[in-house]
Amino acid sequence: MGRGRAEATVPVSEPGRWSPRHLPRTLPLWRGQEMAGLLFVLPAALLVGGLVAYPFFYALGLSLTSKQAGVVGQFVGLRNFTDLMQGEIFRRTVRNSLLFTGVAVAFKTVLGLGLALLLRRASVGRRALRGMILLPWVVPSTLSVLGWWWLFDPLNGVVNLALGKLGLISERIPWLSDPFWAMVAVITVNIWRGLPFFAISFLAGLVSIPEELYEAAQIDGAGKVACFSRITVPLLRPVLGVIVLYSIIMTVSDFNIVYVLTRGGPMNSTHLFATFAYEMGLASADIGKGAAISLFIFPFLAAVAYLQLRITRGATR
Amino acid sequence: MRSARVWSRGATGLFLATVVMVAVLSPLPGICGAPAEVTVLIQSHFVPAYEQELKKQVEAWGKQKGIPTRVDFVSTAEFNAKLVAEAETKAGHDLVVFRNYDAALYKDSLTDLTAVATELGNQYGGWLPMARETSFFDGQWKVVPYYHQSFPAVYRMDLFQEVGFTREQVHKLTWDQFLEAAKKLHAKGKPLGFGISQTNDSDLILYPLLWSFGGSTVDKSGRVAINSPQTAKAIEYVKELAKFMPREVLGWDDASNNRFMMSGQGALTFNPPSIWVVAKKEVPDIAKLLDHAPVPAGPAGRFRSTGSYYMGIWKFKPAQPAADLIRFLLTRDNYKAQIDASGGFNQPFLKAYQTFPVWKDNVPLNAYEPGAEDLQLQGWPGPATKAAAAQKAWVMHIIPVMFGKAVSGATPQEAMRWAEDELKQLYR
Repeated sequence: MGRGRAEATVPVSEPGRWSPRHLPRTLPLWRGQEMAGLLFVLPAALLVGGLVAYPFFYALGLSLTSKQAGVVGQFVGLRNFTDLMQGEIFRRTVRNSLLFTGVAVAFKTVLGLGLALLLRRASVGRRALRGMILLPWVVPSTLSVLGWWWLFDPLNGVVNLALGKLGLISERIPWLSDPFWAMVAVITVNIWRGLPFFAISFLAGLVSIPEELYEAAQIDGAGKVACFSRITVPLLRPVLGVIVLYSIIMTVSDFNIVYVLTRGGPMNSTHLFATFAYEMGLASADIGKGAAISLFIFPFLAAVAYLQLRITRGATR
Repeated sequence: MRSARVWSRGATGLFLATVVMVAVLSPLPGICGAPAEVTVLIQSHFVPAYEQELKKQVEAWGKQKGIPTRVDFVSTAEFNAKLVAEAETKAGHDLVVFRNYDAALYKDSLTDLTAVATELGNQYGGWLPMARETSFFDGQWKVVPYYHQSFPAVYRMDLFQEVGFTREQVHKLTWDQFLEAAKKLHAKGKPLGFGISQTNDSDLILYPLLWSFGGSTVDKSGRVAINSPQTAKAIEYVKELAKFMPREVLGWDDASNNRFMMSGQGALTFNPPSIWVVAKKEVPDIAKLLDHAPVPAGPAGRFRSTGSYYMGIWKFKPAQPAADLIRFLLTRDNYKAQIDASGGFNQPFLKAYQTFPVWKDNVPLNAYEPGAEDLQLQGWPGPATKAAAAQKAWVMHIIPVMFGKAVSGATPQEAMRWAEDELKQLYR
């Protein structure tokens, strides 16, 4: 904003070029360029303000109260946060969320990049392949997760049946009833669902890298690994930064996968912030604590966003 | 310029007048306040025929009153969010069917229904004592008890006979005998099983099991009492029993036990008669082998718990039409038709209705006859002032998680201490 204002008031010496300085000083403000700019920005600002800023500050306010559904809450300061920290379920939720997000985002990044590299090489049916790969991402998540739930079903699940028929397991894997396997299951589904987005985004970044750079490197004797590490990765860094940041935010706030597959169980071993906030804020009507759970991760996410954007900006300069 | 200013003043005046008119007139019946439609919010029922019957009765009432009606059946998963949204926005359905201790959470937003509850109680022989625990707060009936669904055992008579238990013996089992049966059935490849997971069905059997060993979440004064030798015994028992149940019970959802029995894999689980009702249509060969039995007895007695439903009216909705609808739905003929449609699944809170023939006439439902054993809700034996905490403990499945931790390797002491810490957070 500040930079835009400075540019608008720089005197222009060339004859015939228009400048805001040419505007008569007596013109009403609303006819000025600055006001026009503000008006153009206004719809987006209202949208962000109404749908992001207002709910955020409202939730922040709620998290500092003893608000129960339907009644006015009292200001309690940080008590909701300190109370939560004392509970083992919440501490476990924090650990689950970090593990779930860290593992899922790491796999999605590596597999997404691999898939994008393969897709770039594909010469036949490229468009059809890209369309098919996007399917898990575009299918409503609740529906697709219900499909996974059926696959993991302990009694008649196809996954156990298939692994058994292939001779890979001698007894059924307790997919949704063992803390370790339940976490494996929810992470697997998250990776399956998020992978297409990573692959297609990385592919868009890959095709924007000029082919001449690779040709020049090969002439200079660079191998495939050198090309990948010296050309692909540095030039992909802005895309990588934005996609990973976006995915961290979306993964840590995941709800559908866990709620449909495990409801946070067994023994709270897959509870994430969103599922525990639902349990506390909606099922128990304790809105103040529910808001506190949702906001608990905010400082961490803000720090991640700041770091990622710094790295991305550094890469684009 | 002058005309524009005059127009502007006129428009402003007209706008203000409209706002004042709407504000003044909107509460008046017949202008904006007359119920254009009376709406009912209720959780989806496990027996579809009941939903049809309820809709039919609500429509019949609407025709009598000349008011259009609508019944919205909402899934279990959506229901909580719906309640919070309605309480917060002060808009929603005219009549809401609450669950368990919901009325304790929303008591400040609910209309006083003391007159309706008292009138119905007087007319139909009074309410079960349990009804008051979840309906009566701050000296008022905040909701009118509607129906409940207790959790007996549902079992395969043929399989139990094969391992040496007659119907009479199954109906009088102790937990020790139950364990013997579990071992034999497990060896036979037809195990028994119930959820030890984060679902309501798990709460509804594990609370009675805990009580029957003498344990409870709280004492009569509402002080957390889970950490006790009695609870330790209950945990040790479940650890042993779990060896003979499918490992997957730790991850079961509310439908898993239904599938377990309907698929023919299971010999016993705990559930209201919905398994039997649905099996009669879908797998009649299995249905004819099913029977219901009381929950086994422990050293402290034989208990049963129940999922319960209550009709309430938000304070911000007109009370009269919905209160009239409550009376209509609880009249003898209407209520009997609802119970019959549910296949005997719905159980009454009104004592006069406990003598309906459906539970006696259907042999597999004999043990589902209301009031057949000591029926308690999850907050028992705590006071009504702690009902909101009881609801939170139920929603967070503290008791099933405690048992689940022990089954997964924690010692009874570790599992109890965990539950004690969590319950103390809720029962402050």
